[in-house]
Amino acid sequence: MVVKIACIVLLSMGVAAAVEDAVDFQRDVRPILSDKCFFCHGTDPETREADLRLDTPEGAYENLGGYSAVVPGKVKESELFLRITSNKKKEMMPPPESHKTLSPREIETLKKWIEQGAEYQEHWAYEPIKKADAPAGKEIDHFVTRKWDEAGIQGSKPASREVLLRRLSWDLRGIPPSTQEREEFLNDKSPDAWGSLVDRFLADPKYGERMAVWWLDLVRYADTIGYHSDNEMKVTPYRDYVVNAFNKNKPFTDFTIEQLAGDLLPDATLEQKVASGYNRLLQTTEEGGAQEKEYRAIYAADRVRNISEVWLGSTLGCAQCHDHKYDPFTARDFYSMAAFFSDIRENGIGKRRPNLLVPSPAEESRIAELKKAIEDGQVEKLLKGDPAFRAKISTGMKAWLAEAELGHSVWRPVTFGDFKTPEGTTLKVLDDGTVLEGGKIAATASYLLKVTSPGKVSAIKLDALTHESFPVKNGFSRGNGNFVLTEIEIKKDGKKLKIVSVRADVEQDGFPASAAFDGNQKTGWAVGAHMPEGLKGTRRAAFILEKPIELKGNEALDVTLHYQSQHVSHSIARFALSVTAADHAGLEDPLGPSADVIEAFAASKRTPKQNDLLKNYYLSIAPEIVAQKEKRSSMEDELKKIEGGMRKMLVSEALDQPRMTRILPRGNWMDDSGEAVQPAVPKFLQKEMWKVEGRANRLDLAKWILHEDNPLTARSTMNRVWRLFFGRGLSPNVTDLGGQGEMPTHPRLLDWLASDFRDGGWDLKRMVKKIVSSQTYLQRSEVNSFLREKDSANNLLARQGRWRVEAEFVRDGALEIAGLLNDEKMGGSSVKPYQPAGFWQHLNFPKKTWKASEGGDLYRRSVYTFWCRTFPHPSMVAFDAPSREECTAERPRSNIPQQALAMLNDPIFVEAARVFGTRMAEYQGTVPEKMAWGLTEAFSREGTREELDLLMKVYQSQLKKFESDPDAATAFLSTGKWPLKTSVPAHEAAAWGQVGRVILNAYETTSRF
Amino acid sequence: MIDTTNRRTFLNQATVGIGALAFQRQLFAEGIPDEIKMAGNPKAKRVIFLCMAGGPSHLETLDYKPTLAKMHGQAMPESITKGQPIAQLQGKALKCLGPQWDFIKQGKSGQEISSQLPFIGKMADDIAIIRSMTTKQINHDPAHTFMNSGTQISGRPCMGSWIQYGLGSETKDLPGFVVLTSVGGGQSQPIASRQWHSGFLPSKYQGVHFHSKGDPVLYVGNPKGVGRAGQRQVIDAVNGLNSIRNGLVDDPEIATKISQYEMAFRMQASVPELVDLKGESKETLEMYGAKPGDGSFASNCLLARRLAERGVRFIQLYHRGWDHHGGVKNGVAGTAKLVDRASWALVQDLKQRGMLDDTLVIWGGEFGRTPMSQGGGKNPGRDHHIKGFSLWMAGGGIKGGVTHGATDDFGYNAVEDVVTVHDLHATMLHQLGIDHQKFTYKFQGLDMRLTGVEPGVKVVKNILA
Repeated sequence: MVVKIACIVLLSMGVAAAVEDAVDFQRDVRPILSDKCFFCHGTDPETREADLRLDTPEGAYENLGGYSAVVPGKVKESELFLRITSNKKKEMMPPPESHKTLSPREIETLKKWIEQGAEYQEHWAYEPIKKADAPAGKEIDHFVTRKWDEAGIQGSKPASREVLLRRLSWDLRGIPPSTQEREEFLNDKSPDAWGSLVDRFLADPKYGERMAVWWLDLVRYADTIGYHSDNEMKVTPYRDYVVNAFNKNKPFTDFTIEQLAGDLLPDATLEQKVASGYNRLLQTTEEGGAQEKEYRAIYAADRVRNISEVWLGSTLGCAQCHDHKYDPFTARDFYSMAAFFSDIRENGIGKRRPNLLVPSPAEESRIAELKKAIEDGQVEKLLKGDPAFRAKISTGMKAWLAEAELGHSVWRPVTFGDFKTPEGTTLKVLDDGTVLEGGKIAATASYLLKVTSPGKVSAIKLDALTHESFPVKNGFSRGNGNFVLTEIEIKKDGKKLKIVSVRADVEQDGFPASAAFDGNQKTGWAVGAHMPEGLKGTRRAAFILEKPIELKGNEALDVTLHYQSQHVSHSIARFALSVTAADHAGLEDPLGPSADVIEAFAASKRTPKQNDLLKNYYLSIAPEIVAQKEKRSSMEDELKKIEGGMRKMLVSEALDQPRMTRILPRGNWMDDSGEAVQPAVPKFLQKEMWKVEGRANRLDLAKWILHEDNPLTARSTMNRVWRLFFGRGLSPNVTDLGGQGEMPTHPRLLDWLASDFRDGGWDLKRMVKKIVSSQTYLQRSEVNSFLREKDSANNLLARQGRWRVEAEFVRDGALEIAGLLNDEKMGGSSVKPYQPAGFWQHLNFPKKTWKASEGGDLYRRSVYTFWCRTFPHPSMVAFDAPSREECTAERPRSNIPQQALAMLNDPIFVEAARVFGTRMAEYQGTVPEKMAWGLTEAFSREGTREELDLLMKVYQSQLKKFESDPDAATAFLSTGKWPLKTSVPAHEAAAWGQVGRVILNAYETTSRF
Repeated sequence: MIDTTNRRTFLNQATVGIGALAFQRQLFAEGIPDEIKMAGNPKAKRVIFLCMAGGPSHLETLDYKPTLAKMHGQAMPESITKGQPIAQLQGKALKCLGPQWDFIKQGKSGQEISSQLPFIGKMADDIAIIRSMTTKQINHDPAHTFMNSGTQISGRPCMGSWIQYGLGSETKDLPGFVVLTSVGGGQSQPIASRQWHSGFLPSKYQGVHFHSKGDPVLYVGNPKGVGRAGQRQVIDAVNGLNSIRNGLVDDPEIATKISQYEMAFRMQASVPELVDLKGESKETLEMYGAKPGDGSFASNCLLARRLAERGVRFIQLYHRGWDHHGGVKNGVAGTAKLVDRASWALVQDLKQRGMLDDTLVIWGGEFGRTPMSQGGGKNPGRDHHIKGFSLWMAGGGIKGGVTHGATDDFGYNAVEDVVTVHDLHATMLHQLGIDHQKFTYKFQGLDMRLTGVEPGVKVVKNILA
């Protein structure tokens, strides 16, 4: 292909179609050999024919029995030449069945190469990076203009300032500039206006969001697992890590190490762990009947493909079944690379559970705050460490003790009416007003008690009491002494009264009193026959009602006590019931003091024990302490809630014993005959860079990737970064720099960028600034007839590129122009814009429906859109968003009718148009002025008379239409959730909305040039 | 489709091989590009692929196994199953499950077809049955991917896209590759949109999925409150702005954009017209068993004929209902009822309209099912199976009344005239006039083919008329 390009260039430059006199192996010869010969005479021994290899000089020059394929300097003695010029079917090369042919020009090139000595060179991408000299600060332009001089052409003039502003805004932020930004920049007369604009945009958080789109395509980031059910996987914090890394300008070295091996770093931070989510982004399956072994092989291959494409610009993935046909990668290299990831803890099949909680910065600081406040707010701690608090309590206690009597009990006993009991069991009211169980001991029981007690009732208290007749001393039941109250129900007039809380003095582990009103008969309140303190003391529980009620005269409450536990004969065999009118606030001590406290309080002379008793009792009711406890408990609730709602994600976690990795012969996962391999980087690239003792891990891999002598990482990365700003890579194949890739148009420039990136601290913003500050970047993008003729493919970079922006930015741009873009919020869980109903109908296990987000989340930047691999958002797909199943280094830029349908009819674009329309309507000025403003908002330039006339016609005709059809206006304006402004009459707003649609649909709105 | 689309994509990616030439052809000429052409005249112009998704049991549909019936309840010989890939039966006892339905010798040819497919049986002499299919993927999702793209790796073009790429489109108003789906008769396994994706081929070759509810094609309906005239005015103005702009900057992308807005506008009319079955006679509706708008396989078959009439190149129907892990007997019967009559009707309808000769119809799933029972008990089922299964083809130069290939006595391994998925693709391309070996596209530096890079792929000559 390189030859072809060269050919086009030569032809177009008016040079005769003859092969250049001096043939360059790298540029001219290798591409021919690679494409036409290496399949059978290359690196892969399995497909090698006639035991001849042409990818090495040794192979080409080898004596094949009196003759050689290539004899340097001697065309006629070179078998290769005889074969490629032969007409005989049996002799000719490439053979007819390969369907490959050599053009006369290619034959001529090979001939000259042999004549000139048939020299071999290593493939350019694997050679060390060479930093050529160039005038400081003007390096990029230096390398570019040199090519122009050689070709005898000139570059394009700089574009206008408004074009440059728009170009830079798309390139660095993924949105067009606002009219205000335009005015500011056009009025900035300072000599470094451009430099400061670049700095401003680089510092804009939107830069990270824009760059993330590029990176997330490479690492195939998505929100779903990809195969079969395509269920959700939790990895959104990784996406936010990427956005932040670009914004913080994290050195590419850290960026790489953290993603590949963040979990292996000593004392890995949360951020580093999140970054290691990279290793979990691959496609996985939850399909029933999937075979673990097969999927482990699939996952290993997925990872090797991705890492080699992302960081090395290599297609090592092609060596899964056999040695690579065009590059010196072997199948062993492939499996050795796979072995790096065999330490990752994951199941081969089935659901993957998130293994990291990721608080947002706000959550993180709130959690720290809460934890500290909870810790510091312990009553014991305050009593010990806070003299003021202690003084308050002590004053309060003195005042309390000085009261004439201990506040009378707030509880009033009820009067019992009818009982309903199980057959054979009885209940009897004793003289003291308590109730005693008798008769048969039922296994399970429910007692319905009718009780009266006129007045207000805000809570009901149940006292479990013992009786001398019980088989267990101090017991509360006639069984083992313990009880389980599974439910208490309180009804008035058949209507259940809701209980909201309970205070109990004793609760057995696992049997809290709250379980007595959870609606579940399997759980309940128990008091522990086996508790350390035994059965001594009181057992009381006060159940507090949600709303106090008023009992008049004979009005009764129906109280049902359920004992339906699996623990049989666990009913309270003697009890008392009382009610209170006290408010919730007055129920700090709802149970009231116990008898010994009352006695101690009343004693004229108290024993030390009694003093302690009183002190402890006071500490339980002191208002300051109660308030403090409530404060703590609400903080604990908040903490729990935050921790429960925190994002979770899949990250890397290393196994102590990595799984074994074998070479799979021909990639066959069922074949166990292959040799086991240890982690290692591709052999031919190890050179002096690979010195690892013991088992290498992902950290070693990352370090090798970033080794200053590794030529691939910096070259591949800079080649791709270049594409972001010119629309094409310096080597046009940004996926693969290998043998079947393409020779860079500007090898010295690519090497200079790569070395400068590497030597300048792998600082991406620095490189971006250098690129966008070059004269090369500032050129106009129009193709004049001169350039069309001389260099139609723009191989000489004599003009800027022009293209339709990426899917995300098509939508972001429309929202920005409409004033709808919600750019306040960054990161967080993925959001769901509108999507046609039923679009997910083919997903199953479980069935899924897309529920659009609400409020501001409908208008977030598209980088945050939920990415479903099997069904990515259809209007993004229309604009070439990839499925993110595999690495995408270069999105296609198609131009298809689905794009027109989406832009015209997808509700988000219709909504954006109507909101944009209303903005135009509200702009202060005449109708033409409003229109002119709108056009500038979208195009970043002033509209022409012709354009404005055209829009005016649409406006007037639509205005008439909607005036005569108000229902249509209402319907049109009802698209989307954004509130409609009533300040503009409906028919006007609708007509402006149609103008908005015209402007948003214009090609210029979505184009970068 | 308008053929000036995608110039940029094209220039970026289709840098060698037939790319540039095919591209020119689509711009300026008709017919199959010489670079990929077979010797002789092409038989088929279009393909209708009736995908029986979920994996129909060949043992209850197209491949009768009396020996298996005799072995019912006995252990499968280990010599057959040892070391073989297995899906949900991993670690389970492997017992033979005899055919659950009778087979009937049908037509003059006497092809054996299940009693549960009486209509398909009626046209035994129109169809060629392949009983020796094999595939490489044992789970639904990758198996569909393999059946459609010839590889399990995601991101590769599917056959519909390849064919579009090779032959271009015959319609200006509709997409050239359309997908329709229906459910019923068994659990509906998911189908990913990757199954109709164009992969590394230009996006315009993507399949367009028609929906039975809401807009038949996504975003084909005007916004609320906007009629055809209002839409026309907006599009005219958009094209007006684009023309003004193009006059200044001379960008082929803008010219393409203008034509795509016209295409979109035409689609907004042609798609509703297409899916509106009002014009079909009562007899036709009855023949298919279709009720307009019900989203059934029967309605989809009728739509397939309408698409074929309008020049759509590749029409793919998925019926998601053949995954019978349990109750395979009633399962097959139930799904067959939803599919049998309409499959027959489609072939007969094409025939009576003189379109069967140049329309290749393929009926089959992503894999077959095990001769071994799954689940035991009263309602045993069958697990996924890849070593041997069946499908049938009709029209487009296929010989009717032929049974090709065979599995062993158990219906386990295809043993005679084995046909791989790549062979199937090669045969399909052959009928369309394309030499599969020459049909390549450069991707990641490799000459990619629908039929893969491995040697030995062959056209199934035996079933060709």
